[in-house]
Amino acid sequence: MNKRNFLITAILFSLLILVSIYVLSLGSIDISYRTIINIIGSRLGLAELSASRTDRIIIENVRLPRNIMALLVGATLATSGLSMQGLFQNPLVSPYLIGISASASLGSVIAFTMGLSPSYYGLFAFVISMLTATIIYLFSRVNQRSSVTLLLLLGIGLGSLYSAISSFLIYYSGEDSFQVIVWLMGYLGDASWERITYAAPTIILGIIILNCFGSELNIFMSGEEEAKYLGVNVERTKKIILGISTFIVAISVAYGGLISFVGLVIPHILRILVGNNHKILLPLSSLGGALFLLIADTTARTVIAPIEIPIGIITSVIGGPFFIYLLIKRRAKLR
Amino acid sequence: MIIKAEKLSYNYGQLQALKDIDFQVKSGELLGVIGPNGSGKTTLVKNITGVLKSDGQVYFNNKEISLSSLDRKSIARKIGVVPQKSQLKGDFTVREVIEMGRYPHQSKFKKDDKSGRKVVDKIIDKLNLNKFTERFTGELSGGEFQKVLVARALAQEPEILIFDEATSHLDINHSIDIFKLARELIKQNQLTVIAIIHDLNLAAQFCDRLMVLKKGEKVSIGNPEEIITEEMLSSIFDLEALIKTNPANKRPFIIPVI
Repeated sequence: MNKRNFLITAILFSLLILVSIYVLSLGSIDISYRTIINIIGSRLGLAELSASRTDRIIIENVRLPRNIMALLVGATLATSGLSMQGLFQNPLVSPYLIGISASASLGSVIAFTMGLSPSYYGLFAFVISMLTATIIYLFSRVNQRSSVTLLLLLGIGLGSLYSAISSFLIYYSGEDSFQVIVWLMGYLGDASWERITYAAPTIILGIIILNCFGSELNIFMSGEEEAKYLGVNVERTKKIILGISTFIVAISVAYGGLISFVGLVIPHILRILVGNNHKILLPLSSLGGALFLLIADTTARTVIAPIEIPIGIITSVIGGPFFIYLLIKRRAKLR
Repeated sequence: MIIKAEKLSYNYGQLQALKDIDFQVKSGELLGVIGPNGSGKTTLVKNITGVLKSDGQVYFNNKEISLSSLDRKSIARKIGVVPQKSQLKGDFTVREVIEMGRYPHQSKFKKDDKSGRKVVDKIIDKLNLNKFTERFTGELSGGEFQKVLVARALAQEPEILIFDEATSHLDINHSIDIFKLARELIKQNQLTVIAIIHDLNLAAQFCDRLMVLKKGEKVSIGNPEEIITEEMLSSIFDLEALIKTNPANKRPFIIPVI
C-alpha cells in the first residue's frame, strides 16, 4: 500500500468514527456529545454514568443499533457491488441489478405474509437469493465461460418477476402492508440489538472474506483466460465471491429493505480516487459504503423530522443521477 | 524430457480442433509451433496448460507428473504463458502487473512479500524495466508492454514458458528482442520455451526444433533445416517460396516468390 492510499484509508476511517459519533447527537431530541461520550464511556467501564435515563435509552436502544445497522448494510452493499463488478469485469453489475436484491425482498415478503417473526426474514431472503444466484450463474455459462450480457438480462428478468410477486403478496395482505411497503423502500428504523445479533456476525465475516480476494479480482481484470494462466481457480473463485456476496446482501435486505445504488456509486467514486487495485478498493469500499449509508440514513430521519423518508429514496436520489453521469461518460468514450 | 504430450485431442462442439497430437520437449529447448490460421496452435496451448480439458494426456518431468493431477496454482508454477495481447483493463503500474505473477506462490494465509519482491526485482533488472516500474501500463508502447507480460510470466518462476503468438503484433526489432531474451533466459536458467509463431523466418532463426500443425494434426516435427522446405511451404501454407541459407547463422531463410 503506498502513502497516498494509506492516507485515504486513514482519513476515511477517522471520518467514519467522527461521523458515527456526530450523528448520534442528531434527531428529534438533541443530545450533547458530552452525554453521548459519557454513555459510551460508562458502558466501556471508563466513566461514571451521569446521563439521564431517557437520553441513555434513546442512544443505546434506538440510535446506536440503527446506526450500526446502517454501517453494516452500507458496507455490505458497497463491498459486494465492487466484488461482483470485478468478478464479471463489468462496472454496471450490482446485486440490485442482477436480481439478488429483488429475490431477497421476495423472501422477506413471503415470510411477512406467512406471519413469521422478523428473524425468519433473513432465512427466507437467503434461500431465494441463493436460488437466483445459482440459476443466473448456471444460465450465463456458455462454452466454459460466463456471458455477462446473459447474466444481466436474466437478472433483470427474474428481478421484475420477483417484484411482481412481491407486489401481489403485499397488495393481497391488505391494510397491514404499509409497514412492508416502507421496508421495501429501504428502512432501518426497525433496527434493534436483537436484529444486529442475527445480522452482524455473518455480515462481518462475509465482508472480511470478500476483502481477502483483492489479488484475484485484480488478476480478473485481465480476463478469465489470463487469470487461469496466472494460477487462479476461476470457477471456484467465482462461486465463493458470488455466493458470499449473495449471502450478505440477502441478510442486509432482510433487515434494511431495498436500498439501491450504493453498490454502484461507492465503488465508482473510489475507483476514480485510487484506481483499480482491488487490494485497496475492497477495504475502502467497505468503509465508504458504511459511511455513505450512515449519512444517508441520518438524512432520511432528520431532514423533514419528525417524518422519516425511506432511505432507499435518499440513495436513489443520489444514485440515479450518478448512474446517468456514468452513462454520459461512457457515451463520450464511445464517440 | 520436461514435457510430453500423448494423443491430445480437442473438439469445439462438432469442430475437431486437435487430433491425436504427440510430442515432447527437452529441458532447455526452444520449440516453435507453426501452422496456418485455424491449425489449432492456440488450442494446443490451452490443452497443455489445462485451460481446456483435452482427451489426451500431458506429462511433466520425465513422466513423473501428469497435468490432470495438478491444480491451477501448481500448473502456474510450472508453466507461464505470454499471451498475444493481454486483456488487462484499468490502471495498474508495471510493478503491480509483474507482481500478479507471484500469485501462484501466495495463499490466503501466506503472503510471499519478501522473497516475492526479490524475485520481481531480479526480473525487472534482467529485463531492463527499471525506469518503467512506477508507470501505468496504458502509457507503454506495444513492445514495452509485451516485455512486462514476459516479466509477469517469469515472476511465476515457471520451468516452461509459452509464447502464444507473443510477438505477432510487434514490429521486427521488438520481436527479435523478445526472442533474443528467450534464448538468453534458456541459457541462464534452464528454462524451456514453447513458442507459437506466425513469422516463419523468425521461427527458423530462433527455434531449436519446429512442429508443424495443419487442421489440428501434427504434420511434422524436427530441426528448422528439415522442416522449412519448399514442399512444406507449398503444401501447408500454400506459398511458393525459395529457401536460402542465412549466411549469419546458417539457418534456412524463406524468400516468397511474388
